[in-house]
Amino acid sequence: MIPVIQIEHLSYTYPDGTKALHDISLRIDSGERVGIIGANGAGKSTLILHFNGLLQGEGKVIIDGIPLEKKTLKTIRRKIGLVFQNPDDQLFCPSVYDDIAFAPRNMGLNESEVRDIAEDCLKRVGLLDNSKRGSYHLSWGEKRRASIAAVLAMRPEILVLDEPVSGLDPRGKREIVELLKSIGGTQVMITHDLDRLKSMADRAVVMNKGRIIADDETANILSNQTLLYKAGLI
Amino acid sequence: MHHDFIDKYSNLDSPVHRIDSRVKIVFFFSLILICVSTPIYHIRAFFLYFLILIAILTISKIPILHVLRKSLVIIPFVLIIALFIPFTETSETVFRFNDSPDLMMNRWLLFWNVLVKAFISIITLILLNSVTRFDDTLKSLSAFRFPIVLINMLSFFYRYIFVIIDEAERMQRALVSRLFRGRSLIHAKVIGDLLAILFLRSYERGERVYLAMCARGWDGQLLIVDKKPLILKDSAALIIGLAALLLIRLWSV
Repeated sequence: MIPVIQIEHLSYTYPDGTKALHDISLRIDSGERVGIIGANGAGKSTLILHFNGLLQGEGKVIIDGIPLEKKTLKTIRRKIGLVFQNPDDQLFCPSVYDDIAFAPRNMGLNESEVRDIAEDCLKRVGLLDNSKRGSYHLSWGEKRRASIAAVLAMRPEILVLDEPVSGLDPRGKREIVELLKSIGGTQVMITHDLDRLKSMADRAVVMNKGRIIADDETANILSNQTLLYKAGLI
Repeated sequence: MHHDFIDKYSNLDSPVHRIDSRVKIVFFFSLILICVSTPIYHIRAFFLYFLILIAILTISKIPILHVLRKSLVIIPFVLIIALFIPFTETSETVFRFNDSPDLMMNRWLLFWNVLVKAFISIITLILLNSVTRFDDTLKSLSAFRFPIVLINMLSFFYRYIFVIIDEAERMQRALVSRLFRGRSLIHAKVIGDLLAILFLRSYERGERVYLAMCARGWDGQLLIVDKKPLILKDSAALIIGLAALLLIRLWSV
């Protein structure tokens, strides 16, 4: 079986000299739901920005069997649906509909195909009635769901989410957890929410200071108090 | 947080709201051009322009108070122009050497000219934004071959101006909570720092927005919008509207 995400010996240093990733190797198979956990500044967000080449460090990134390089960027970006932490960064169009239509339009589809996809995605996240509103008017939970719809519109094979439940009230969190469950497929998510980790991911990768310090079934990780303490998670 | 949105009331439903936004843009901009080009002593023409605006206002169910309140933004500009009027010479006064009553009249006429035309123009623009959603306005502008880069800039402006205002408001609250009053000149530095932080945050946000756009397959191509032909009802509305404006203008030559 070909892994959908395969990373070998990846290191990355920010332009200001901060070492963000040290020798990361990671393999994620199709259909897996993986949580990436770690303290602030552990390198989680930096790592996922490498999945679709928004950052490019030293080492190998292979997505669905295709090595990430300049000429494969377009194909790989289509395979990886990246949901950013702050919906205000992701939703930049004057109306929700235009935001959902952004990726399909970039894929060169015609307007009627774009409309079908956009309406389908809005329905899946329960925002069909809000399609004409500006994203500024949405609540934080609605914005989060709109960002997910905006990414689903690319029909990605792998969904990658940066803190999908942060900043939401308990109901908002539950809605996102249920939504992600209904979407299915391969999912990688960064989270600080250990309470919800079990219902969101079967496997957890623990990062600390730019390295992966543990990679195991979620239940095993959550029961290892020493590890969690070391990673700054309790 | 709540702001008075640029296109508040644009989501109402009325015969005016339903008209194609391209028609509305052409009509409202023609209204401004024709109004500005009308000689000021044709008072009844200006009266008719106002009447048209009030008719549209009534049909579109937009509260008149909202429009009036928003129209106050022109007052500072009109005042500045008014300040310069005593130093202005109108064509009729070129050959006069002293302040005759006649000359004063001309100056008042000049002031009246600026005031009325500015007021009608601003009300027209407020009305346009109240009966047309901002994204529709932008799409129509692109149909008129307005430079796509400028349309995208306006689109980002509309999307992020409130986000930035919110951010500034939150920072200001945090300052006030720490007993900052900002009344004296010494505090200018604090305000300068606040603006600098706001700029840096917006700059960084811009970078993140760019990354998020790339992640969704953006490759430098700018937004292209499909164009629908005007339906009969919209064309008729446009022709009637423009004919009315032209009639008023020709009547007051």
